[in-house]
Amino acid sequence: MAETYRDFNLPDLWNIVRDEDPESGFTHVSTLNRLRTALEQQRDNLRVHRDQLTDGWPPSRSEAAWAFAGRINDMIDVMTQTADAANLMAIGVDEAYAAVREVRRQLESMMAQYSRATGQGLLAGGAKHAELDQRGRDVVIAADARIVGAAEKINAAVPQYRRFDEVGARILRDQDADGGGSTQSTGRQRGIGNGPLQSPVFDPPSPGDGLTLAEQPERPGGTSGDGTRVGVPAGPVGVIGGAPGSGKPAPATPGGVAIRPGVLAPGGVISAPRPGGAAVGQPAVPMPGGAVPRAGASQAARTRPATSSAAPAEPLGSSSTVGGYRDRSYEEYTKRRRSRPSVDGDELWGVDEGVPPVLEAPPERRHDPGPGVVGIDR
Amino acid sequence: MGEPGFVVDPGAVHAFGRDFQHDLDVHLSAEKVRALHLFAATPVFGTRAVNKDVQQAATDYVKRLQELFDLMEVLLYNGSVMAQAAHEIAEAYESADSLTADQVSKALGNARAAVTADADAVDPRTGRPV
Repeated sequence: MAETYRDFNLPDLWNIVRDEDPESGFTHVSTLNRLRTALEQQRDNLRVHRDQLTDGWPPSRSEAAWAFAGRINDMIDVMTQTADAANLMAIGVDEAYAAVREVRRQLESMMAQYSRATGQGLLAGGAKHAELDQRGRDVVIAADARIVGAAEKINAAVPQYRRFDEVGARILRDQDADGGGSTQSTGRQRGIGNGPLQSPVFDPPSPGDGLTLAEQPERPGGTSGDGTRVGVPAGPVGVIGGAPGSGKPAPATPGGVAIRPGVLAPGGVISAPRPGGAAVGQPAVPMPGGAVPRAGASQAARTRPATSSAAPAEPLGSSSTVGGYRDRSYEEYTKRRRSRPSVDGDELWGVDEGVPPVLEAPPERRHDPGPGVVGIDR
Repeated sequence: MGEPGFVVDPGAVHAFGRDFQHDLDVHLSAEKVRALHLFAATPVFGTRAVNKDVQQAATDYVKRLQELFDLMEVLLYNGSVMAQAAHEIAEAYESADSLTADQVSKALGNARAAVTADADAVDPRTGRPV
């Protein structure tokens, strides 16, 4: 079973269960229970009718009454067995749907974590993705096992019960020992075998189908809710420099921004998104001075609405604006770090003497409550 | 069979047919139709399942549901037959009973004629009633 999901990542797994309506299971179970209740009610009523009938037409005094009561008893037995089968089916279906609901809930929660990890866009995010992918596979495999286990109850055998050959006195005639057929065959004869319950049509997703971020519960690094398609390409994630052996960045999805969590093209510099819908993963233009914006800048830019994502992203300060104001504080900080002589001991941050402290308490002021204060004259 | 000779209350047999058919219509048939619509409108689990065993479980579930409805259809059909048969049986007993009454009436008529004939008889010699 593990091989089945080997190539599925978390979005692929979510794609399997996201359309499962949690309410469907409750409808199936409650409807089966109603059928069981109806059968049991019908059976109990039939017992009462039989007893009243035999009071006025005692089987002990009539061969016809004996045969007729026997048919009634057979029907009561079949109703009991059918109600039991419906009950067992309801239990099995409840277990199966509980497994579906549980796996859906867990994958939905993981998808939210997936989104946050995507926003990191670093090796850490890629590692988190790999972990979540594996956890997702484990969860789905466990759910599948629960469903398959529940199938034994779902497959509860319904009793074989044949229709009477025809209406009238012939029902009192014993059926042929080998005559008749199963309930299924008799159903088809009346055209109910091909009833409205159609066999399910399966449409399993393939690994790497990917999802549009607009379809996901929480868009991992998504840009908007406008339905702009943002592909999540399959393959290794969290690798700076792109996929091994690829030699090129992940292509941008036409009409959207390709979000490949944590992938950065060879030679690229971590930077904020650039205007024009440039894909993450494409070679980035180094900022003046090689500055690296803060870690959250990239995610913040990607989580803006689509309308703003297409607009030029404004990095923090004005450090990356070519030809504009340039904040040199980072460079000065780097220079200070590099020029600091190595010192022995625990004291890493030297303090120059004779310099007034940065934080100095103001001179103490005398408190004067003033006149008119209650109790001041005591 | 215990004691010889049958005992039957055709009214009780009619009542069985009437009440049983009413129950079939109100309980089983109505619930079956309602359930069938609900199941047909509610998707089954696993339609996007990748695992073949899960797909098989979903397929089997629908098959079992169909068998269940087929069986209920048979119960409804046979129940209606039983109810109808009860009416026919009761009518047969009533018919037998009405034939007997006719025969009794006829016998009474014959007896009355015989008695009347005897009562009206006169002595041919004297001309007086015998």
